[in-house]
Amino acid sequence: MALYSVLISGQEELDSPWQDANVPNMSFGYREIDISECTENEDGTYIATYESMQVESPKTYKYLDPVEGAKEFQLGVGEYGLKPNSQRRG
Amino acid sequence: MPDISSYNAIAVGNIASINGQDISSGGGAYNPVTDSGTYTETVPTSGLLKMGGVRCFDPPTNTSTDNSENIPKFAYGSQPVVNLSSDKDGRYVRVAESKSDFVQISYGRYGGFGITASGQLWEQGSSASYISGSVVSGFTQVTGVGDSDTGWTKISSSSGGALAINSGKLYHIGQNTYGNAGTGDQTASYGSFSQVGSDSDWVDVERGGFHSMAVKGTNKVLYTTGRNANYRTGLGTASGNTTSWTQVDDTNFTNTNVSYIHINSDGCLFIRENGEAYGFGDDDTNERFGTNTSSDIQIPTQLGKVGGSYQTDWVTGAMASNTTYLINTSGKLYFAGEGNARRGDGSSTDAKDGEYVQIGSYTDWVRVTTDDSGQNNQDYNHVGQRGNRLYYWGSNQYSGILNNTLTSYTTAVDIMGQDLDTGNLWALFPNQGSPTKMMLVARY
Repeated sequence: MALYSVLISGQEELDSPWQDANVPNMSFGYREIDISECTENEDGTYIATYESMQVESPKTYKYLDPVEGAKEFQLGVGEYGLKPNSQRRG
Repeated sequence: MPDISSYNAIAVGNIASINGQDISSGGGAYNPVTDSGTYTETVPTSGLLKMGGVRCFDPPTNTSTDNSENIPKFAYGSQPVVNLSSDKDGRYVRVAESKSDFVQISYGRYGGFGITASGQLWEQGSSASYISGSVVSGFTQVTGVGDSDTGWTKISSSSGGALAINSGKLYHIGQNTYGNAGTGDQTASYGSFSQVGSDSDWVDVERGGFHSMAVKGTNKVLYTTGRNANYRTGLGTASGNTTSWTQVDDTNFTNTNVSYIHINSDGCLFIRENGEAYGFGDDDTNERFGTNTSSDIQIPTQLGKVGGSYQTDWVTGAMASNTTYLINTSGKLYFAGEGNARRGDGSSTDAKDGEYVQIGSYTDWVRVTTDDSGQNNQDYNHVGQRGNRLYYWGSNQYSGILNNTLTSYTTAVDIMGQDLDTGNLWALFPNQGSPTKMMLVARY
């Protein structure tokens, strides 16, 4: 699990989760809940942070797709849930 | 002055009886016009839901040291039958309406629900977003949802909504901010129940403030959904939200035959039919899981070691922010974690060496909890059932369940001094979602 930062415009963007097609049973979001928790830049943008999903050994997930029912997928070793234009911080 | 002893051919005494009140007849009877005479109110003596808790205000504005607001009040409005005599002994308890047929009761932040022996679902609430009907102070039956109005088998209400099972099908109402309804997205269902998926083999479900857990299928497999932070979904990740019901990581156990589940704000506890207990979620120096580690428990890990061996006779338990409690088939209560005001046996000794420690020597423990709504991140108040009686211990100033003092009770105290009504119906939950303002509802 690594920490990333992203420039966002405000609360609406902070509230918006994103998907990783490799992980269909999950969504990803920022650590901060309220925009006041984010660092504000001089240009009015904010810095929000999130943690990626780190898989250290291959893993199988069994989940219930609300439409198609029971499904299964595997994740190989790697990092998932990354958002474009984010910068790794640690 | 008109004689109103009989009006429109209906005796006044009979009108009062309709409302559960008897007015004594004959000389000296109460005269409602002159407000004179003797007034006698008779309410049922059993089968009544009683609610207690000092800080039962809407909104809860008082602080932990402010004892000036110790006035009892129902969380969701006035009730049709009130027995003020219960307040005379200093216990802040009022009698709610009679629901002698409830076999389950569950209160969340905005909605309270009960299931009757015949499988009916009833609701009351302070916000129309979190119940299926209008805001009501008394309980109203939920109809027209699911396969049958008498098919309800489970209800679990928490801070942002509720999950319920009807004829094996899963339904949710309210928020879904973290995917805690498992609908595959984070879309809310305000004001009405929505079915989750189409499966009809749901067995049990518990909704927490941020995540949920459920048992499903003939093999009784454990699933979770919702916020992954602090590894509270038992999937080995703390990143993002799980938005679809997903089987927990089964590295350390066989994911079948799960017989008991309990959720709190950042963790889960479950017990299998063979008596094995497991937990996962947030941990730190309080070592609440009793696994001799202060690190988060990332996947289901066995709990309940006594005398160097994992015990396999656990039947129920509870997880709090600083402790885990387990009760075995012999009715003995054990705990791990922080001891101060959390044991109930007068001791404040911690249990942080990987072992569960028995609390007292009683062998009639039935259930214990610090919050049945799964939304609390505090454990100031504890209620446990021994035999047919409820006992309290903890920081009474945060609930007033016991009395109106600011005292902390390190030894369990019999709350009402009387047995519960048949069925042992009770629940402990935060008032308006505040972790420091607990309420107890119980049927006596």
